[in-house]
Amino acid sequence: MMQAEAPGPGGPFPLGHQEHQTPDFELTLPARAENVAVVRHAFGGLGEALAVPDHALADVKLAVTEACTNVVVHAYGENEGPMAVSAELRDGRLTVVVADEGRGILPRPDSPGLGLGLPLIATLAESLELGTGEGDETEVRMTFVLDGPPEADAPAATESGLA
Amino acid sequence: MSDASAPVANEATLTVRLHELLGPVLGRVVGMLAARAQCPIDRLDDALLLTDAVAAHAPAHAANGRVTVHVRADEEGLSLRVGALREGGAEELVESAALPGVGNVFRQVASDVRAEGGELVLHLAFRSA
Repeated sequence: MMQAEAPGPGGPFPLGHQEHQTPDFELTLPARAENVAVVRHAFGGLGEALAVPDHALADVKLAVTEACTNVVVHAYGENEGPMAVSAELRDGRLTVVVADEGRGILPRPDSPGLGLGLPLIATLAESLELGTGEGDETEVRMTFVLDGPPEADAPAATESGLA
Repeated sequence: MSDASAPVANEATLTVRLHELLGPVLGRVVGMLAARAQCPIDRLDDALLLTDAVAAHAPAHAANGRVTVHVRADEEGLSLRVGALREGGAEELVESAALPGVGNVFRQVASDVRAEGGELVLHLAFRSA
């Protein structure tokens, strides 16, 4: 199920091949720890509006929280900068992009984290891509299947109620 | 890049193309930013009334099908900047938020309502002057 695409040795690759579409929603905030909770709460609103099943929404919120935490911890160091989160729903799949204008996703010998964030996102999402957007901003692009069963080995998919 | 002496901006910008997301997402964002700014509970209720009115009526007056709301909250109050609205859209948006027997929600609840270019700016003071 997991189809994570990690950046190669040369670092993140451009995501310019992605078809550019206006996302269904985009939320931009200062990249500060307290705003991670705002983003998470906003996705609760998205889940309510789109009747996303609880198990799928929990995965989305956890993965988005991890991606935003990465931005807060790694993107700007001691400086301030924006954190942009966008989401787009197509054919029962939710694509979420977390972007920043900071130093990007590079190995950090002084990283305060355990390095589990991206592997966790890769496990929760159907696909994960790391790269740069049209404006050279760093992007984490995650896609989630919203109408799948709670467990990968469940016998049949359930109706999600998504239009 | 950052100035340690500058006040920390308690703000967010939300752009929505799928209009049914506007109410649920904006309400949560406004609620969190207002609470963080020590908004009194009665004013929090007012803030969510404004948010609901924006969510209900702004999409019909948007210039390009998308609605962008910039939210800013500080200890003085909450500001919502709603755009990009078509020509005359800000005034039409205000007028559309009238309820029978209640009056205009924006004018009744907000401390300041004004059109600025293609945007409607609403300000809600947290405390009486």
